Amino acid sequence: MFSSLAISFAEANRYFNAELSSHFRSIDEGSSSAIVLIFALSFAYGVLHALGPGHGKALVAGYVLANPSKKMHVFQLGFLIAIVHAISALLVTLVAHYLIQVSAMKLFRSVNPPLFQISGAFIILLSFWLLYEVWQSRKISKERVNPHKSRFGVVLLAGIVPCPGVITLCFFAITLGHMEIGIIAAFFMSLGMGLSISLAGLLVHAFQKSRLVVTQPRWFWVLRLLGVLCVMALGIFFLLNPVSSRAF
Amino acid sequence: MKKLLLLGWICAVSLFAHPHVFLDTYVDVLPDKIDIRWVFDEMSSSMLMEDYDKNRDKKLDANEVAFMEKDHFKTLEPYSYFMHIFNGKEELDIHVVHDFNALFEKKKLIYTFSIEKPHMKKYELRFYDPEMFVALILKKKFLTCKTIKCAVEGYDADFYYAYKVVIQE
Repeated sequence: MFSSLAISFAEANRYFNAELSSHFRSIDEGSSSAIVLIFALSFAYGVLHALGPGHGKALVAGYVLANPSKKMHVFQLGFLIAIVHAISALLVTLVAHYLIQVSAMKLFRSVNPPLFQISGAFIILLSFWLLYEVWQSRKISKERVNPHKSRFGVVLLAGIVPCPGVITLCFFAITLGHMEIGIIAAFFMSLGMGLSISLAGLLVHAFQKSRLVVTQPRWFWVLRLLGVLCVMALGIFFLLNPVSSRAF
Repeated sequence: MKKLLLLGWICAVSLFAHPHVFLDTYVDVLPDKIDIRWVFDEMSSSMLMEDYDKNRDKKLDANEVAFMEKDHFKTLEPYSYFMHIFNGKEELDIHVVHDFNALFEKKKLIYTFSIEKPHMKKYELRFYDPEMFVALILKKKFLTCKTIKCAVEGYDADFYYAYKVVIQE
């Protein structure tokens, strides 16, 4: 079942990739609706794209589990991660094209593995901080704890590794001479990704509001600890399994 | 309701693949070899041409193709060029390919190469990227077989999106 779903998912990603390419080319043919369609497709592509691994959903889910938060803070987390993710991709693309003059993907393949590992190491440190926080606030038995500045650390650590999808989109726009449209499309794509990432956090948030958790203080504490362990496991995974440096 | 929420949470962290490079994979099963053709998506094509079309003439000359083969294509050798042969018991890797060529046509980069046919009556040629960065898309119309039976099928490997060609000699 998973593999057939995954094939459909890959085909859907491919559809957006092909449609975006086509509409970027339509700009030069004088199509007035192409730009609007690019922005709409970029948003939808972002939503779909972020459903895949590597965009911070697991980290957000683990963090929200460890630090029950208001809905507003969950959205803040999701959207900020997506924006940092897109900005780092834009930076890689622009530096690669204008300064180093290699394709962004080549630079991405060089910088990504160490970035992954650095991010993983810091995520592990963050998890120890979260463990301390959970221990300190162990007497809080329900609903939520106070919002914590560590969420901005999560934003940075999750978003610092650039998104290859945004890199590909921006680079393509640059090669066609539509850098400004590419940057705006990247922004719309990041909004779409932010929605998906936030939804992941909201699912956990809704689970925390469930009757089981609210009426059982011990479950509340256990889930917070589980959240910390998830974050720690992710950090270890990133540290030990960076993206490979093969050509593609 | 609780089960739904728990399922939703599992989905939130699930490993749905999200490829960034899309290869339309054409397979031509010939009497003495199997020809493979990869057609890259337009976005990946433009990125690769940026790196390898050194004289920016939107064509790949012999030197550029040779460098592309060495610097790009051959790096997939440890990944068995995203193809594996299944003999009914185990998956075998492919480490040797022949006749590599690259061309840029209709805004898309195309790789062509061939592999030796295994000496088996019935086998499967499975196409997947274990890192899920590349999606190899195989449609029925992409497959050509002469004088033997073959078919494209989905490949049910956990968390891999994949296609396979089943070949009966």
